[in-house]
Amino acid sequence: MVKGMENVETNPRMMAEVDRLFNAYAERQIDRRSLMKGILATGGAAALAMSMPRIVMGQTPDASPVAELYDGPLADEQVMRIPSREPTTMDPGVSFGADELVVFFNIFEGLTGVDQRTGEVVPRLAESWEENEDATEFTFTIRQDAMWSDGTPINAHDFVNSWRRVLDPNTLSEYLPAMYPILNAEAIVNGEMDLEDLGVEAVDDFTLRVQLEASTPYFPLLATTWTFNPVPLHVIESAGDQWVEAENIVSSGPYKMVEWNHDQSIILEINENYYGEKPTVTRGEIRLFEDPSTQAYIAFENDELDYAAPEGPDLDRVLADPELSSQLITFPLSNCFFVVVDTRDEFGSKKEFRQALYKSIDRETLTQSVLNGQFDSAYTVLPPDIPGHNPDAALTESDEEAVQLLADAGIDPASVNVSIVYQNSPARYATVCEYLQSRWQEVLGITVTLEPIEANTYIDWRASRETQPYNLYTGTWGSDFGDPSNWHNQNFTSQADHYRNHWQNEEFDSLCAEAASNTDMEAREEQYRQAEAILVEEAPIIPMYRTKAFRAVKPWVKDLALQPILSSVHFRYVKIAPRDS
Amino acid sequence: MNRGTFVIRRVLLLIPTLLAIYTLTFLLIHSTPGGPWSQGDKPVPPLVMERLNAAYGLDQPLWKQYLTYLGNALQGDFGPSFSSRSRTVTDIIGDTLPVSLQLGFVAMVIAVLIGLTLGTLGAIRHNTTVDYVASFIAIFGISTPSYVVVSLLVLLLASTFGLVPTGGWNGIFSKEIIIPSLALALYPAAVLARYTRASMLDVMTTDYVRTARAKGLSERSVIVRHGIRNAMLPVITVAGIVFADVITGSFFVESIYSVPGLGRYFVSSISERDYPVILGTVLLFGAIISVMNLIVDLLYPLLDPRMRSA
Repeated sequence: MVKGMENVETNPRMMAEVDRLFNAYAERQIDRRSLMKGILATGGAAALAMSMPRIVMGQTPDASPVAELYDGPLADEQVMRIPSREPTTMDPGVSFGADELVVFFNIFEGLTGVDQRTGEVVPRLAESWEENEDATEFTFTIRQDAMWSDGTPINAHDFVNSWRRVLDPNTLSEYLPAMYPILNAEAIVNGEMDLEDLGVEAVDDFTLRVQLEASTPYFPLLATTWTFNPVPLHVIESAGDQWVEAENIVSSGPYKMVEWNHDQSIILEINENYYGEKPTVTRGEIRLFEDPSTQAYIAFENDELDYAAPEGPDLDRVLADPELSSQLITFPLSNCFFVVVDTRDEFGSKKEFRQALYKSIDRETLTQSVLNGQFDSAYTVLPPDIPGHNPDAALTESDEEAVQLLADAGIDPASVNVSIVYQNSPARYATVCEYLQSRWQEVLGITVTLEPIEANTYIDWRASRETQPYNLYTGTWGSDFGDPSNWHNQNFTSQADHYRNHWQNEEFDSLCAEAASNTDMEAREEQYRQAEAILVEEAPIIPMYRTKAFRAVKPWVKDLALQPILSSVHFRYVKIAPRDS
Repeated sequence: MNRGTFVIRRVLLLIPTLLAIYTLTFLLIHSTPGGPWSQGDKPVPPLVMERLNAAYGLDQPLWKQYLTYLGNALQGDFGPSFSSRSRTVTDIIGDTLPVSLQLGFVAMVIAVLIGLTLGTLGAIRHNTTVDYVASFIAIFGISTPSYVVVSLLVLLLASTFGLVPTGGWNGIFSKEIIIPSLALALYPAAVLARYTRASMLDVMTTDYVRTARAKGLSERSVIVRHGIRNAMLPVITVAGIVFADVITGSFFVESIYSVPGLGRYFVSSISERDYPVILGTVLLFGAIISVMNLIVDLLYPLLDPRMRSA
């Protein structure tokens, strides 16, 4: 029985930490390497796997996941050129999941993989799998026709040995906690057991049995992680650390690496020995930049690349140019940026004050003028893609009402002096807070002080708000999976209080608690809609805007499937149309 | 002191120089906060960090690391790279130094051609429009940093006119060499032009030039045989140092134009706390600069007979 990934149980504390990291990543406070390191530090490889998105954002975000595929004429040369950075390692057993991922996704495979079009877990080197009743044991059937790019067959023993290698202290894997759900893995790492005790066994050449420490229904999703990819031990034996260089490396995916010109380029070509259908794109050229986010777009414009992710000034310019912006794929990211109010505070404790802060902001001006139109206004907390999203819950923006609310609450604006804390990078935070300050001072007549803090100290600062007072600060949240429990239950209930606003609302709490365990999906969604309405109305969290992804893609690149998280180009899905079409 | 002794003394002086460079760099990098495995706001799991430290000898006391690296370096082993795991520092230098040398060489050829031409023209057409134009170019070249020049050239030649790619490396005889070599050449060209002009102005007013003119030599012979040749002395001094600068100081140009040279590693290794690469590149650059100075000193006597007896 091949199981889907529904009803995955989550560990809220772990997930919360992972979310924080993803938010920071989405906000570019940390790079991908730090993101992965942080997730590892939470012991959260499993969490990472769970965080993998289920929604695919294709070229038409609104279309159904399996949108119509390109059926027109193809170019003679099926080459796609993309930017990346020089990877630290090309060994999936060692990698933390940084710049090398784009290569891994194309040249290596594991038992399972994530279909980039549907976001679902699909069989790869395993053709099927079964699990026992309590999901503590999985039995994978390996494909008989799987082989390395040099023609050597891949069998169940390759998995056993590759996984043991990850845990071997000499391998120096930076991602070995990903294996901890496997029986005895952690004990082996701690030196209490031998590698042979790992709960993985080749029953025969094509049957792999995996025993787990605990019930792990999401194991097939976890197994899509690069750490679980088998590595060519027959090559590693002779080539040692050099096995990842282009002259030695053999791989298991639809492509193989034929050139790795350090600091210049990585060239992938079709792996003739791949078991599956051969992809349309025959050659992937990955050009290596020191900083692709600032260097790649100009190369894209000059027709040296087919894909780039412009940022900052480049993005401003692209959006202002009708022709360039027509090549931009934009998809909303499932997140929300908001202002957190300390409800213990003299003013923050008053609902009218919080609502006045909400109502006196002109979000369209904020996102379209102040933020150059690169963001969407957020009037409610839950993003549109999350069940329970409730646009009707939005409060109206009105300067008069805001002023009136303060008067109703008996607050003399002249007596209000509040500070808003925000991280000093990215620069956008300062821009946003300066705008908020000017609006609140102008419209409400209160005094607002800006208090930037160093981005690195933000997490500690927030944790210490458990006991320390504050007035306002900026916070963010992004979905790891498409469920409102990931938002409300995990963050905003008085039990969770992830943002330390110390807000308590019994009705909100009970609605969220009931909804979380409700198996009637419609009723559940309605409960979350109601909870959302309370959250927005009470305004302990004041929604402001949401971010979007911008990817520049040449018009001849067809069927590119991009995931919002671990977003990477998988050449196997792509077709290149003739340039004049 | 004869020349042999002079050379030997200068070469021997390299040893304490490089040792001082090594010691200073070693102390600096180990007193800088952070480490190769702990970037970002979260460190790698403690167990993983312990293992990495042990594997790369970073758990040893500092004095021991100091001696171990020194000992290995003396045997030509500059250690592994933390940021490029499948390569050693020697591999990286082997990959990148030839690129930087080629780029530097081309830039230097351009710089000498432009610099000497502008400088000579400026001197012999002293206080004319030609002189002013040449001076303007020289001042522009000296006051404009290479990263501005390379960005301008990319904008102009690659983005606007589409004549050359926006970045990359493809050897000396390729379109890709044009922008980085021009960008690198501008500063040394300007320096050489100024020195040449000043030196030429001096030389052209000397007695022997007047004598040359008086004995009826053509103006061309006067300039080439008596003027330029004598004017070259200070220029050569500067050229040697500038050449070392071009090779070792190309990191902006290499970074911006995606040239896989050593200059990029010189900078990126510092932010990545890639200790062995930092030490390896610093030592190498130290050696290059010292050797260039030595070569300049050795060239002197060939050009100036007065130095031969000195």
